[in-house]
Amino acid sequence: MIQTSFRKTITALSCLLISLSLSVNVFSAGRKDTLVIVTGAGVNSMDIHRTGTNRPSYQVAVNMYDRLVTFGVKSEGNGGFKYDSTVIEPELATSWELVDDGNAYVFKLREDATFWDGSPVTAMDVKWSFDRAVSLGGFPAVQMKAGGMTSPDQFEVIDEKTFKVKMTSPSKLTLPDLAVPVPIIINSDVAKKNATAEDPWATEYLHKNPAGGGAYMLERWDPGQQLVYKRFDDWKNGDLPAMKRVIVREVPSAATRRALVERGDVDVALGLPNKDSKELADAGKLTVVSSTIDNALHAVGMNLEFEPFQNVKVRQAIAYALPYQDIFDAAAYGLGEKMWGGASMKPMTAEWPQPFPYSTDLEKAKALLVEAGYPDGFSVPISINLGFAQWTEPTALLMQESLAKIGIKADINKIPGASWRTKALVEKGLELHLKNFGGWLNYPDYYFYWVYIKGHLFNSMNYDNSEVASLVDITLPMPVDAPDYEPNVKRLMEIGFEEVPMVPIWQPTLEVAMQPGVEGFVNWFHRQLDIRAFTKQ
Amino acid sequence: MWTQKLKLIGQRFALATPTLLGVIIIAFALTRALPGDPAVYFAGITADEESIQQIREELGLDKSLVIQFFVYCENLLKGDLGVSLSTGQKVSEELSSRFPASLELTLTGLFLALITSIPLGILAAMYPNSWVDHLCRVLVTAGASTPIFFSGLFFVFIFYYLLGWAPSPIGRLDFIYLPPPHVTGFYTIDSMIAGDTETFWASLKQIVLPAITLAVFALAPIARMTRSAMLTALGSEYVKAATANGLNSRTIIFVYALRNASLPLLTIMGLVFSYLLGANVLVEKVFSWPGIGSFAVDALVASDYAAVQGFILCMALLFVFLNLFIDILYTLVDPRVGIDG
Amino acid sequence: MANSTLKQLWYILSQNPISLFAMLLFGLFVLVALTGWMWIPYDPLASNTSIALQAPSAEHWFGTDHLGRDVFSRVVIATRLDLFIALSAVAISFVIGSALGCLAGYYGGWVDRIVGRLADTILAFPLFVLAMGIVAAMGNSLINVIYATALINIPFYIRVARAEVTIQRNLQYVQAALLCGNTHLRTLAFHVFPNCLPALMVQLSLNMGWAILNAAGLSFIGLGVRPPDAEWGIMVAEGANYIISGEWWLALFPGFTLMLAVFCFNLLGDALRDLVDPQKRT
Repeated sequence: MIQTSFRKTITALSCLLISLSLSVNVFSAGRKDTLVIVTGAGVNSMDIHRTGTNRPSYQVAVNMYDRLVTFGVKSEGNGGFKYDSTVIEPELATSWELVDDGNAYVFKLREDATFWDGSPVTAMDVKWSFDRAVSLGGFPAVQMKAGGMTSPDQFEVIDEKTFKVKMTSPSKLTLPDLAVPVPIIINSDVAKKNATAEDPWATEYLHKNPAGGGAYMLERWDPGQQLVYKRFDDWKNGDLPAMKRVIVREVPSAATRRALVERGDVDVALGLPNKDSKELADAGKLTVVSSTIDNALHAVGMNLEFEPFQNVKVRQAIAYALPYQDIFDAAAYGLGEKMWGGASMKPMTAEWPQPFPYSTDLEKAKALLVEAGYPDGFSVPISINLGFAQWTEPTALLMQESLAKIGIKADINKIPGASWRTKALVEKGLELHLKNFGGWLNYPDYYFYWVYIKGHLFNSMNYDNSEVASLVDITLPMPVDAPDYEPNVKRLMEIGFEEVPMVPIWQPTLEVAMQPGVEGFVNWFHRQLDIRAFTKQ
Repeated sequence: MWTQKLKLIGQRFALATPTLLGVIIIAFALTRALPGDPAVYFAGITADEESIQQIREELGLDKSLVIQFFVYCENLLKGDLGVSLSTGQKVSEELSSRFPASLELTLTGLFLALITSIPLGILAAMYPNSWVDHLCRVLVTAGASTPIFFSGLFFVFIFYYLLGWAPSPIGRLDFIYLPPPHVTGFYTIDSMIAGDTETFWASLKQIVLPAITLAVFALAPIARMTRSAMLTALGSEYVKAATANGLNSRTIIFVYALRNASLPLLTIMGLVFSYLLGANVLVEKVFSWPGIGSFAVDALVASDYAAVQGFILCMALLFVFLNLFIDILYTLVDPRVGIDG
Repeated sequence: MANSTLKQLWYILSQNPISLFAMLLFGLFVLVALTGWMWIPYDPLASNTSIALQAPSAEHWFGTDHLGRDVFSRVVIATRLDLFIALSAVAISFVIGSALGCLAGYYGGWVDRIVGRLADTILAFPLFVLAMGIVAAMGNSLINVIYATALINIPFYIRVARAEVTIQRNLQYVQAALLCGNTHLRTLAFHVFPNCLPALMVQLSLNMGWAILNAAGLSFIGLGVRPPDAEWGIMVAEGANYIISGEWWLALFPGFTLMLAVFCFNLLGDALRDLVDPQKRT
């Protein structure tokens, strides 16, 4: 019964095959001006302002939309580039100036810039887009607020090509905050045509249909599989990218991504584990770019609501008990900047991040525990985020072993990526945990703002210090060349050293492997993919 | 006769209703018990209390569970499965676009398993306790004993990475091909309909390795069931009678014994199919296969209620209909079994 | 009785070398599970990053893992945990599933309907995903992995037991037992049920393997056993990341041992079936 049907199928198959002609479905363009990139995480929306848009989707904002300004990009050699937080460059705006006693910026827009549909980009589009960013709530609103922009009243159209941003008070963060992926410029005519009474900001439409004027346009998007970009040949807001077409394919398994790039099937593999990156670099056949992420730290957090951690000596004991070098070798494979072994309890420079003044010293740790009144130790779970198991798991295992030597019994509590946010950052209920936070704007005071102030999201340690709070308040808007800036920042770091509610272990890196001849990966603070600078020989 | 059969089928449908209701309730309860607050998850990386609350209201999570359940049922009746928060697409669209991928893979795997394991099972039953029997047993048991993600990874390592025989494990088609025009959703079939040989071969190449991974795993239950059912059938009175009447052994095995053995085989096939759909999850992960299994795992990890529920309901429907189908076949094959369940 | 069963067992084992092999393998696994902790060469939890990822050698038979732990010691010590998970899960589902299935098959009517719906409802889920959901919802712990594994296997026992009992209850011996004054429940338990055992045994043998594989699958996606405890599934999952880079021993040895254990259970199931199958006894 089954055999006959099988035979029939085979016969049918062969008949069909004989009569078939050549494929009509193969892409005609050669691979020469097409770049194939594999990545672990997938894009879930074309609209960065929408609720629920995930981080990998920020690449759409980067590549398909423009901002008024952008950060400079400098070559790191070896085919890699890194953004330069100290340089702000034109994108849609050709020039800008500070007016009204430093209380507002006026931007001149590029005369010949157009959207993909050929219509000119006007100040009205910019206003509509910025109004949208502050009005939709959620993440874009919070990010805009970090730059002091909270209300549509702050955005003013002066004429067709002139646009003004008013600040509530002068802040060094406003201009850089216009260069992050959020304040994108949307083709407001297209968007408004697709808006409805319930959905005045066209979130439904823009979620699936980008409408911008960025360097790349959407060719096709198969959610969960791939995103294909094609170049916008009339792009005026920067150097025309070299690649005509870029395919970003999702491959969840890191091992498979490595195999693909190693065998030459793809041009670029993103998000490689440190170990693979290191081995590929040692093998020397591929271009491997490994560079540190600005203002980001992998650290151990200690929750002050857990009684023993209220004692600073216990926190210091933990800082002395961490097996830093072993962790750095086994979890980071030596890639990144070490954040331990600093020379003194007072920071010498205002550089951030810089090594904390702790190193592995079990004797000292034990002594501190005795002084603190815990000669027999205590038990505390180490919570880790499974979403980052690549580094959190080996780190936790090594910590567990080392802490056992000073009498602290630590079970490992694995938390799925989805619940991590609630448990660690919102409920702030994890006693001992591994955390990683990176500030988009590269200032130490910005880091302290998010991590060391009571109630702020990334202060998973519930650390509370009025001096830190007031210092951050004063320093945050201050320009970096203000006389008080450096002493303030140093004082913040000193408190961080002394009080250690969190112990940094290392500053992580972004790891990318590329075929020889492929260049142009840019390490951005947002860690997402920018395809505009890629070249291929 | 036909009216009676239709009546029986109707009865079966009626019996499936409580199952579906149970599935809806369990799906709802299970997803609501998932840890992690989706509002917090989707508020973004720097959201504050206020924006989280805003999203919670938007998602209807501030209402009581009972109300949430009724709202959910009401939407279901309208055919609205909600929007997946993690992929941003309508769950119904997402499932219908991904389902053919999973089905194509599972059916190919099942097909490969059937054409290998039924002959193996028959062979084993024909020569019980011989070396053939032992070898069959060892082979299929070894297959069923290998963790599916482990075999998948090693297959990739050997056939793609070391030998280069298999194409890169990146889903249903290589980068350079476009999916064929949608007819059935099965790339192999659609490309043939479109008369596109090259895409057909490309999609066939992609599916072979994951399908073999699945098939290896499914060999054992089918082969075992074939063997034991065949043994029972071969030892039965009617086969003895047939042998005594001098019918040749081919006829006995393929007509009398296999036909009677097909009954338990049908039951096991339904179970194997469901098991393979579940096991698909891991295979899809290893081979980047864009099916519903990997979608469901991602959704579960992200506490994506709508997606998990949609997936479970879709599966439940599929399985209830599969059971119906098997039940009906069962009645057709074996007149002794009445529908009294 | 016991003596004749033993004789029977020996007869079957000597007839079937594979069953004998499986039996010996099972004995070996039990022995390793019970005594492993006494003779392993290294502490299975002690890390030493200076010797991480070393290939198998005379010193470390199965090599070392990414934290420099001895893979051989870990594989050995994991035996106990894995057998424990499998046995407890299968025991739970066997007891509950076959009891429900027998009742449903014997009494029919509404009992059958309720039990049937229950089994259908569970089976309407893709089992692995249901197990994931249960563990994710109830909390990520070992005991929940056991419960989840037990729950998804219950319907299989229900179905097999029900199907068998439906056939058996119409046979003459059941009437005979009832006429001898046995109650229905007694007849079911002592006359019908033993005759269903062969089919249940085949199911049990498969389930034993599935139970371990299921737990391993859950570990693969990060649920289940907590580190640093050694468990084969989690070791394969951890090792999977290292296969492509050439450190195959991390995944291969625990994976192979896992396979061998499941293999052994499956073959053992066959041997058990031969033992209890009345057809063979004659």
